[in-house]
Amino acid sequence: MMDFSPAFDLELQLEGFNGPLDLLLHLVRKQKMAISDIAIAPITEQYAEYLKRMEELNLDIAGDYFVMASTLMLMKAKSLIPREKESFEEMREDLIFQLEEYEKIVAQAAELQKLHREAVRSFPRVYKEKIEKAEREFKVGENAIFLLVEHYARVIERRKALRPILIKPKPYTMKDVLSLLFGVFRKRKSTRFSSLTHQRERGFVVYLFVSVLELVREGSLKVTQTDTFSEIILQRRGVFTEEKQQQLIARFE
Amino acid sequence: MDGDFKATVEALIFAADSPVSVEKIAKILEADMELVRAAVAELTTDYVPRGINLFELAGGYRFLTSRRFYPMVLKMKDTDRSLSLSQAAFETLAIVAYRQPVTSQEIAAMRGVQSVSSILRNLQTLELVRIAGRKDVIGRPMLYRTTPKFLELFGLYSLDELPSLEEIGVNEL
Repeated sequence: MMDFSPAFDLELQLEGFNGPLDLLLHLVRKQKMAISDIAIAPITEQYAEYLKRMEELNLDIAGDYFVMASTLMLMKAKSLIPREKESFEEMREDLIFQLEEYEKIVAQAAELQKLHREAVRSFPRVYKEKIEKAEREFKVGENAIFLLVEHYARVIERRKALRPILIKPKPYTMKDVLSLLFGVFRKRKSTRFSSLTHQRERGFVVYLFVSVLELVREGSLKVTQTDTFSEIILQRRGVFTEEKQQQLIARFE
Repeated sequence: MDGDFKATVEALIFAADSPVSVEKIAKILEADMELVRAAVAELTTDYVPRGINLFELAGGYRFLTSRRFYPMVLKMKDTDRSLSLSQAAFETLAIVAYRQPVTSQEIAAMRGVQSVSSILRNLQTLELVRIAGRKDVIGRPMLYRTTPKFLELFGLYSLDELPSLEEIGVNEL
């Protein structure tokens, strides 16, 4: 079994693996084994133990690790069945080849890193300083102009969304509007809608219109209009008694 | 050598945004390639003691600041051209660089993972890797190669300059 003493480097290694082969290579090296001498059964156990520990720590484990785990377990199972010996040897050879190839890749990747670190020690006359990294997504090709327009539209939209909407308190209430209507109809039987809205702002007109509709529904006003957008004539159908006025006002509060 | 000819070559290389090849310079100046090569060789020597050196990169030549003065220039520029790539991305890049042309599936198999497509996309966006045709097998998967920019950012003149496994110190079996 694996040594899980405090000296074990689990903590340090958890984030550090770049895939199942990396983990496997690490386990082989820990055993101070040559890759070609890999012993499948113990490695399978250690590998599974590693995954279990990672799960216990609630670490996200990529599916790739489980694929390798099942391959290893299949190999281990085959190794125990005499008539599967050939198939097992084949799988083991494949794994050894894969690990050896991977070991080369790791070395080559490290070499590339070294070359890169050295190459960036010299600067060109100009280069897109930080933009190169931060604006990676804004990479355009042939359809550059469309993308540009799209991005521009998005910026505008965002600005619009960010712009605060000012809500000014209205200097009048529904009660005020109703009182005005009652005042008008105290003196006369009918009036034109436009005479009430003259020089009034839109909010007031809306309030007035809503009150008129309410009075029509309730039966105390009659409204006529001959054409779309033509003058609206308001006619009183009864007398607005004090009691009735209070009743109507209460309805809007 | 005609001093003006050398100076013209110098001007062309300085004005370019990426490495310029001897062929290109020869074509522009309507001069013999050998002559251009000689001018470049002299310029390289001339610039050795300077703050700017002439580098052989990606099949051409480019003026860059001398590596010796990296710390001081960095102080002014705040950032160099370092790529912020993960270990997995470097492995993927190494596979493409050393085994090109190669398919996405081949890379994934070598790394023992199911897919490397997002890493490849990132490397393409960084212009380090490009699609170079399709493999003539079922499904006709795309083949990937490294770009001139890769050579430039890794200080290489050509892919032949990639260090061999013996040079890196891994025993080829």
